[in-house]
Amino acid sequence: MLEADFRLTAGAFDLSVQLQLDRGVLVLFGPSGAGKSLTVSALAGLVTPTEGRIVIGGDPLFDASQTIDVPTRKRRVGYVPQHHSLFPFRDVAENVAFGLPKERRHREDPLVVALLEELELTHLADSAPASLSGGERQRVAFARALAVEPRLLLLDEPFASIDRAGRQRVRSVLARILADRAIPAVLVTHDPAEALELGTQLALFERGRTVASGTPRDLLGAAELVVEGVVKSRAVDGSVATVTLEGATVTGAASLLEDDDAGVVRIRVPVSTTADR
Amino acid sequence: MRLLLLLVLLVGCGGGPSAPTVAAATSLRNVMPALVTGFGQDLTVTYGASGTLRQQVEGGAPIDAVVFASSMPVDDLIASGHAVAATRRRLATNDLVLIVPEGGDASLRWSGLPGLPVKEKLAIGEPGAVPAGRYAREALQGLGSWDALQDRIVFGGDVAAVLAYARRGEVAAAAVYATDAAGIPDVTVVEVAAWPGAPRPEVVGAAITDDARARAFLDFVASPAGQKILASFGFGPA
Amino acid sequence: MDSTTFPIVLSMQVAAISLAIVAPPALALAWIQARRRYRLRTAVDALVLLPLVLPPSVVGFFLVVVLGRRGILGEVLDSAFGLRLVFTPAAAVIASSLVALPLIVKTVQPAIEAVPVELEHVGRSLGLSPLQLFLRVTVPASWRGIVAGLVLGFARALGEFGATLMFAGNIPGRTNTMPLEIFAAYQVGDDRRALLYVAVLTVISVAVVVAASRLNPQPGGR
Repeated sequence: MLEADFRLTAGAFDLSVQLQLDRGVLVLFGPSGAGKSLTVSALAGLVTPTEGRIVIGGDPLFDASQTIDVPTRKRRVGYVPQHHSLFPFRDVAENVAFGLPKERRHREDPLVVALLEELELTHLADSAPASLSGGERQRVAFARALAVEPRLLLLDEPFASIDRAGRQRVRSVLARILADRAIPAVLVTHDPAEALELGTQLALFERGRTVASGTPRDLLGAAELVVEGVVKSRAVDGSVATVTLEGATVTGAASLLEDDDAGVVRIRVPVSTTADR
Repeated sequence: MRLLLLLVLLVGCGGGPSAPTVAAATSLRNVMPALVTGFGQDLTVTYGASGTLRQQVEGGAPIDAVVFASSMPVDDLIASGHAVAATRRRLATNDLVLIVPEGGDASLRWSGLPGLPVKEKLAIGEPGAVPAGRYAREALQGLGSWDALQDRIVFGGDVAAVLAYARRGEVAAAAVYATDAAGIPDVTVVEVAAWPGAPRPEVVGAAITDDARARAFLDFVASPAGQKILASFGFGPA
Repeated sequence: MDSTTFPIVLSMQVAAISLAIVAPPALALAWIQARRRYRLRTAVDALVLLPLVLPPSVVGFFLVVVLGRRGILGEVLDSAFGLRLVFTPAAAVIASSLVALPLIVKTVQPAIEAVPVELEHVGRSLGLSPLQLFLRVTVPASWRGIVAGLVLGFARALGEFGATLMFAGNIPGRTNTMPLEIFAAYQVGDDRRALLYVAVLTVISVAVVVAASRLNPQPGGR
């Protein structure tokens, strides 16, 4: 359904991406600054890659060699950003109906009514976006994106601005909707639990490159996240090892600390460990 | 630092602590330097439309004598107590002429102005402030064409501005003094306003303060030597 | 209409027409400068600011030199279309439009910049064309800044003097806008007449400034 292989240079940042998705949810996973949001922007047509191809549903939306670059409005992709997702000058129902043709653009349209109900927003139809919680806002954003019947959803860290409590609820709602409609989606996240719960496929991003792809379980799995890099200092205190890399500090089980011959230190840490960057 | 302050003060005083200032109508801008040279003593001259200068005098500007292009502003100053009545005298006369830009219609006459195509304009001085403008209005009123020309007349702030409009070709015709048009290559004088009853422009001067040098200057202008200089610039006798 | 009310009516008409002419390009420019990065962007920025920063006499001189009867463009206009602009009400409109433009652009541009770009991204993903995006997303999100800009532009157009005097001239009954009339009245010593128009312009300007600052409070004052 989605095939993307492109390169993009934005300022000093070089992005090189290979993605593939047949059905389900493709998670773009990695630390912030790795290029995941930029990738989604490119898929949406909001930025133009320097070379490569993007094909969605068999339609080439971008092809540098044939100078194809379909504008965003014709790509039929749904887009949900992390912040500022709703139009503040419209109420909930009007937001949901925003992308519909003029004659259907009102709260009584059957599709709008159905979506509001499905996302449990009916009681908020007349509310202003400013009065909604983070979770409610993103549900409206999902409804609005679904209203125009996109063939692919692009979700850029949609849960990040929702408080921890509401996050799980919205995730379940999204999972259900995606399954019901069989709409494929690309989901950006740096939360491993989220990736495991929602993702069917996972692409691992590191410093502007897709370095691995597979299932979330395979890559994140029950086991480890491999963090490697230039070591600035390390300390072992009993069974706990703390390694300070360039720009990151990782704490994990001392037994998983490895040196290799090239002088690079690897530490395997379980997924639930936090890596600060 | 103190030297700088002194310099500034000197410059601010305008060339010397006691050089008198004469306010002259713009129409005299060409002849005044020659008159001052002929007079032989230091004098500061400031130019403007006679009405504008009159206002400045009334506003308290440090002016010692005035030489205007009409008797009205001088008499106004006398009436308001600013000018000395005993020093008032006519210093010269002038001719009001109709000019056209080069390449314009040389057969145009004062009486033919209403016949100008609608898009064409006539420039005269602002009658309330510029004597040349008032003379022009008088002339046109005398010919009965003032009303007909109403929204085709452009007012200039002084007679030099009126001349400039004509030189730039922005208007079809303009009313200035013969002395303004003399020697200007890009305008053509087509008619002098000399019919019976036409306004007779005059240059009138008066003293404002009792500065002796300023009064002596007025005497010089009225003297045969001064009159000769005026005549050489195209002015008529007093 | 008598000669006393004429300058008031003329001024309002000139300012309104100027606004109508200059608003669309000004808004388009504000949007381009806010949203697009392109090579000549800073140059365009400076060019737009010029009529605001230059003395009115420079603007007036420029207009006369370019659009006057013997000017670069004026000559073409005259010989090809018989169109003469100097000393016409149209000249007053042109002068007013020129000085209102930078004010509108500089007020609206930050208002558009303040609209989160995500809103436009979402709009595009929902299928909106660039014009629809502008009308349905950018304008509703920044309408206060837009109205403030237009209101300030109107006030500036209303008060235009220097360039208007040079380009449109002072023709009673045709081009004597209120600012010109005030100056003319002052020159002939008719203070009462001058005061009348001073009062009218002051009242309108105060109303405009109050309206603009309520619509578009400066950052920090919110």
